[in-house]
Amino acid sequence: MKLPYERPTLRRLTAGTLSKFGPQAGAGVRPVAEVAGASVPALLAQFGSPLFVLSERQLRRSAQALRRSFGTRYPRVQLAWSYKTNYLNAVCRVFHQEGAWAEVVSGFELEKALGNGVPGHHILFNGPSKTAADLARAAEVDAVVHLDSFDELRALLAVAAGRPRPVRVAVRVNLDAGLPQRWDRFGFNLENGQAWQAVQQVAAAPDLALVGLHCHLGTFVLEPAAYGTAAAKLAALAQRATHELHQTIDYLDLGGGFPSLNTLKGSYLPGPDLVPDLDEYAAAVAEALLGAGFAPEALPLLVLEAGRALVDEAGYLLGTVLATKQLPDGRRATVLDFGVNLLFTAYWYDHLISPVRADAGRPEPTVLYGPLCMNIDVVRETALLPPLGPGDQLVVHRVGAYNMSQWQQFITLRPNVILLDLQGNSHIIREAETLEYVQQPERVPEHLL
Amino acid sequence: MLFFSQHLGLAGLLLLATFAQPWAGAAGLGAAALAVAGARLGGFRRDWTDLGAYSFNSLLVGLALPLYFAPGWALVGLVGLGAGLALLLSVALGGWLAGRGLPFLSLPFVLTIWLLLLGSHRLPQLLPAEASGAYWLNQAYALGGPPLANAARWVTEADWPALPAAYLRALAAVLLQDSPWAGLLVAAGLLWHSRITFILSLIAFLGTWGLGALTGGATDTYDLGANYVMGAVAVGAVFAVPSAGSYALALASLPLTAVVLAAADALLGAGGTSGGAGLPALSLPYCGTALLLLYVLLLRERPGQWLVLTPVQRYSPEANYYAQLAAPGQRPPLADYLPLGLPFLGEWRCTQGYADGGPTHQGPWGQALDFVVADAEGRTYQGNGLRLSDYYCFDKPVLAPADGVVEAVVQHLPDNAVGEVDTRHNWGNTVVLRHRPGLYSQLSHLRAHSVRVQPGQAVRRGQVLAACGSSGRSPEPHLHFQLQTAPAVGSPTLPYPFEAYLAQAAPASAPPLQPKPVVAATQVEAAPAAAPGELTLLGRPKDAEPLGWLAAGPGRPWRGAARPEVAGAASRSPAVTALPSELEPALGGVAAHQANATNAAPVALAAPATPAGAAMAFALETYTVPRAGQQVQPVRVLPGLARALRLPPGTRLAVQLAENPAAPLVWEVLTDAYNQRYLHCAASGAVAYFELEEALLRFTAYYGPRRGWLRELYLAAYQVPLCYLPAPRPVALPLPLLRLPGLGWLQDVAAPFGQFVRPVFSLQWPGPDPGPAARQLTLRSEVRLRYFGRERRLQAAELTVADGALATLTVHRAGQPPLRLAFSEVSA
Repeated sequence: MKLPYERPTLRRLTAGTLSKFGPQAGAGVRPVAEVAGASVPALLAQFGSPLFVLSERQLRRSAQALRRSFGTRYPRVQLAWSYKTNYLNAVCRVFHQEGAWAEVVSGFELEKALGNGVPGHHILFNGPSKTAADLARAAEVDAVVHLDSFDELRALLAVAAGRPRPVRVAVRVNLDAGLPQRWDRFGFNLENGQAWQAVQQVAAAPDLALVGLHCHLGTFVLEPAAYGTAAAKLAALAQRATHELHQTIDYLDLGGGFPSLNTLKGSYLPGPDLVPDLDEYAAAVAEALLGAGFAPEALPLLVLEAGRALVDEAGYLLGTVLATKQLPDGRRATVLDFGVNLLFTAYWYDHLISPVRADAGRPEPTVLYGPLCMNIDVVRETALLPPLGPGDQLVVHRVGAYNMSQWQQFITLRPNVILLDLQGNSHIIREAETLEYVQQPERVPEHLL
Repeated sequence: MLFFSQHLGLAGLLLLATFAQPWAGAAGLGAAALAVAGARLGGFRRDWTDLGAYSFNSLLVGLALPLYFAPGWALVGLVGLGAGLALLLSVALGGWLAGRGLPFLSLPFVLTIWLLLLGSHRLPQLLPAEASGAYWLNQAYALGGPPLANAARWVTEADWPALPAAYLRALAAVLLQDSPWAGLLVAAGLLWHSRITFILSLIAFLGTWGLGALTGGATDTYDLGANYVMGAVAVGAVFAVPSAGSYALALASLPLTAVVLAAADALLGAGGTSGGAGLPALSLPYCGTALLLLYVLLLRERPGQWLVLTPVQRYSPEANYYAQLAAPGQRPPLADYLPLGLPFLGEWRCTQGYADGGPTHQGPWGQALDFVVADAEGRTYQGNGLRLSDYYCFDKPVLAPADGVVEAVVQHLPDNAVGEVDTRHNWGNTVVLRHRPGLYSQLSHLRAHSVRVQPGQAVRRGQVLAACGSSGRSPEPHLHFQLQTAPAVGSPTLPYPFEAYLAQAAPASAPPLQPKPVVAATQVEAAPAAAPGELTLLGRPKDAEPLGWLAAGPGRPWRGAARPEVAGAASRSPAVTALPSELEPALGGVAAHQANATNAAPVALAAPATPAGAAMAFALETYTVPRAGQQVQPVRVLPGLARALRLPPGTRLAVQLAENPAAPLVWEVLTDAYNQRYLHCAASGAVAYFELEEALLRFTAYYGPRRGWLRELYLAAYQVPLCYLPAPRPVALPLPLLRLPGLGWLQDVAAPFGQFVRPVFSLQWPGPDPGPAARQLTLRSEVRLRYFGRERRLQAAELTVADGALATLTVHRAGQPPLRLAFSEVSA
């Protein structure tokens, strides 16, 4: 009998099929009743659900680990905390206490950094959208402007004219580091000569002082060698500037993009198995810079704008199950009190989510929905979880990056954010929003009152 | 120079004292002038000429000759001859003895007088001197008639109490005078010049008196006391740094001088007692005693701390003493010291130090260091520590500690699994570098096949040699570092200090280490018995002679790292914010300043200042080695600061008042014959010596007017680390620099036995680490005086460096308007 033709199909792998020992051994089923030494039910009882928790110990550990990885391989390393990743003041200040500078991408973030006590000359001003006012403010506080385009250069020249001291400038470069996806929309391209042109123009401007070169390879870059390539190319550019323009480059900024241990959507392996150690990035970069031919005393400062790799691990989102249901295809579905409104990164990652209760039963694939009345509000399309009932609590791991800056006040209000300090004391670092807070900027025209 | 002094006040009083006998004074002055002129014309060492080293013997000759011969043209000629002879002998003896590190003292004088006395028999023109008393009176009578003669008689024969008179006459006898009045002048001058010398002269005199009383000898022969006093001063205060030990030595020198004196008397027959040559002993006994003791002390192999010979003669016991206090262990221990850097980058922890009784570095292999990387909690690994790559230090680059040539490379041995050791190949993969003949460094337990250099290859300091691993007798990844005198792998170790590094004490109350997953193998790494195979295999040279440091040149003691530190323990936790600032940093690097460092954390951060980063709690260590438990890292020099303070010879700085920029002074950087750099102010003649090391600018001496601007810079930048340290350890300033007549003199008297007046220089960096690219740097410094438990701020200064050059200096003193100076570099 001839079999009927069947079109070949590609089907997405679902979690739980990786281990030959069956779903019991899969990740995510380990119950987690404590985060950073604090009991989850107690925290939820005290601060309400959902709740963001940040561990100061982990923040400091991450910063120290970065310094250790790079500092034991290269003599001059400086961290610039990437504000957009998480600009809660408490978080920023922890990093500043650990010696980090600030990397900001808007006038708003610039003011925030200044408000956190960062001296102007320790602020690196990135980003494609700097207004004339932003540039003037940056020049005033002696921040370093990372130039993104020739138009911005012209705007900056106008701002810099007549100032007592030249405005410090770094040129943002995009380059081919061998990655499949090239980020060429920011800065000046190296390969087509624009970057060199920009360097020349800045060097020729008496009102500007060229202090650095910057590049940013991408986000969640899993290829350490790419950083080595980028470092070598930037170093070559810096040396060309030194030799041809007699322009010393104080620092090379390799940007961020270092991954955290989260699992990217569509990734075959879970993050912890896949993501290279920070040490491997450090080795690639240090190797490239030390071998670039700088005189030992003229080695430029290496600036890193790590964000996610430092803060993701320190953040937890605690939440509660609101309801459960059986979907028509037989899968379990669970409705949680948080969704993509708070967990923006659910669009990017298959977050590791653990139940709190230990004896919940045999794990099975479960769909996790958020509380929004929107079809897109899916936290996990499938996760191995024991059967959960209303009131059961959950812990989402590695949520420190981008969520507390990209979350939305959509449909509902945003919850408390707490910081657990080194002694385990909890501090509210952002209070839960109230109706008054949300409505405070609103104005109702008289005729509608 | 006569009293080992360069003090002008003393010199003036001495001059006055010599004119107690005008003829003698004139002869002395003339002789000294002749000698100086001769030394200059002769082209002898200019610095010694200027110090008076070549002329004081001629002066003495000039002073002495009128004692033996009556005034007249013949005497004038003789004085000229004597001055020349003394100069020749000074130069010759100076050349001969200087090579042995010895001074020639007044030996030329003694020899000259002897020669002249012996030779004078053939010159009938020379008349023997009259008895001085009568001669004196004749002169007085001739000048002023009977009243002056009477006055003079009263003066000379006034009824002095026996003891003080004998003392003063002994002092006068140094100048070959016999008058208590002259002695009084000398005593006043001594007190003015140096309290220590004065006290010591008193002690020596009383000791002599007591000795005489004990032995019943004749101590009232006035000029004999002089030998005792000079001998005691020389060994007790001048050539040794004043201390209880040196005072004891000075006392001990008295009987020695007595013996030499008696023997010289007998031999030479000065008193006509026997058939000697009829020559006076003069200052021979003192020279003999001083040279003997000094030479013996120089030959000590382990000088110790009790009796330190003056490393740099500053011609003032006080200056020597305070300079020694201000710089313990702050000098390279060897003249030909090889600047040695840490063999890694970033923060590492020393797990075994020198002779710490560590488990594996023992016996001849005791002077070695082990390093690992540890995190804030004291763990050396992440995860569960079962894989080598879990260990922080694994695969980290290992650097050349100094320039050298690769002597040996072993890199074929596999890395052990965690917890296992390879006892057959004790050292594992190893690189040995040759830095100098007889000076090798060895880096061991490297990762297999990670060595990037080949035998015979020249390497520069800081070059990556290999990666840290866990081969050989190494249960977990670590780096073993040692210096040795022989090239073979595993030679006996040599103690050798690092030039500079930042260190942080180990947390005293560190959280308990996580239970190690490793087998607790008792690791006896270097004990020869434990590794016979390896050692015999490699052939340990039997005749390897340890050189350097311990067997170093004489008089250069190296004060080790025995420096108790305030445990920077909790300084990583915010609890430290509340640390009371009474944790006072003690003096002279006695205690680290770490606790305060955290208190003084960045002002710019609005948050309560907390121990931002570990970097805050580090203190700069120079010329020492890490101890077990210390967290260490290389110094990261701030390029801008280093450029501003590097001051290469030939640099010219224009200095002017910031408000009134007229008439700048020009300071020039020069070097002297010993290659010591100094700033010289052409207008005032002021001189400030400084040393620039890898990580530190250190002013060492200032000579010049009290109100000079150069002195302001000296005080404001007395010791500046070239790296960011929020509050470096305060350092003691040499007391004479501040010129505090009352308190200072009181302190001088008690100097060798204790210090209760302590001027302290402290530095502070306002704000956070400016980073290497900073345009402007501001340093605040303070000079405080602590005495009797009180503290007074003498001055506060602010030094700014802009764009790699000194910019401004502002000095605030109580009751004075602030002084603002602006600097600019002048092209020559």
